[in-house]
Amino acid sequence: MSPDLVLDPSLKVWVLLPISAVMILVGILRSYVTNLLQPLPKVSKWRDVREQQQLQKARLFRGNSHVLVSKKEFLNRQAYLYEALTSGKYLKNAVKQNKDQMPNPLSDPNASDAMFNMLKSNAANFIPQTVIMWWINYFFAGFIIMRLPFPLTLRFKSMLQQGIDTPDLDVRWVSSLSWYFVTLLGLQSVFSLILSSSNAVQVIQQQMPAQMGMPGQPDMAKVFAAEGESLQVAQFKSSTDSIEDRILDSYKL
Amino acid sequence: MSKDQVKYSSSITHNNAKAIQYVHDVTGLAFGTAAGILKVESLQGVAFFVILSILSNLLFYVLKIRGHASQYFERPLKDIYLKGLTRSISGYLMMWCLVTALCE
Repeated sequence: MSPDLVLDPSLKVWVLLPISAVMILVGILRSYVTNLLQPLPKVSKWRDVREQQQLQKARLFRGNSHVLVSKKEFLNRQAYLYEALTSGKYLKNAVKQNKDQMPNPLSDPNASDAMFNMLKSNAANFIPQTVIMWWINYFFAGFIIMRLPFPLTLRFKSMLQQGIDTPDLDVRWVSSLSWYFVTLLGLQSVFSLILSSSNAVQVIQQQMPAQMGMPGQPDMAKVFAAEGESLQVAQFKSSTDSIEDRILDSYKL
Repeated sequence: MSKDQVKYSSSITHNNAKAIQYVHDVTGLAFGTAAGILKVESLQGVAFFVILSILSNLLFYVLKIRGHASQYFERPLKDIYLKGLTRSISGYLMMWCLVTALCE
């Protein structure tokens, strides 16, 4: 079987490999740039932390109160936590005033900061892509560089053979721009192998602001009051209640 | 409930997901290289990938987690077989095309 088209072997060296190398290097550079653009995690104020932890304490107590042995212990803690929650002495801005309207997420400086950061990382993502696409279109347009190992339908012809005016050519022969698209998708796994440690940092940093900087947080006074109410109706049931029967049961005595 | 929280806490599942993702990444690229060197073409290439990836997932299942999939993954079938599929397919395609072009 004779090949229907013979490609110059120097196309591999001077087109295929340079494009791949540039894509890899730009991807590494991009990940470092996005790492550098990440803001340092903010230190939260001690009042905020205290407020959160007080709420968490009440929740944990409600969830794990069965480990207490006597009912007296339970009632003491319940009374103390209820008082602490409803009096509002651990609130961030302790019992100042009840602002009823929700803060506007656009005017909040923290929220606009987060939005700006998102914009920055987005820009770091797609600016290099457009630049590389322009570069490939400018330098390597108008000729075929490789033969794909699988057939494609004619629909792909206009995209994969851009700038090549041979209407009868098989779609398998593609130009440099399609190699760009293939690498754009395929290099993800290469990057995660090369940059495994820094990627992990990114993931954690992406998860952090989702928990902390939610726009339009609920009014903490109301949350505290609701938690206090559910605390008040909590029933005590120790895990040591009728433990003897259960042990005897479990040994089938 | 609380037991599940400990078992599937985010740091643990993240680590496990990273382990299976590493396997998917390496196998996708390696299978693509192999397919390119062997000059596998068209539908044979698809079958090559499907068979080898099922085999590698099976090996992961048997050798690495020793059949206790639900101990390591919350939704074993999805987390092992489906999650990294697009990534390994695209890595496979890239290496397949590249090595086929280089070996001509």
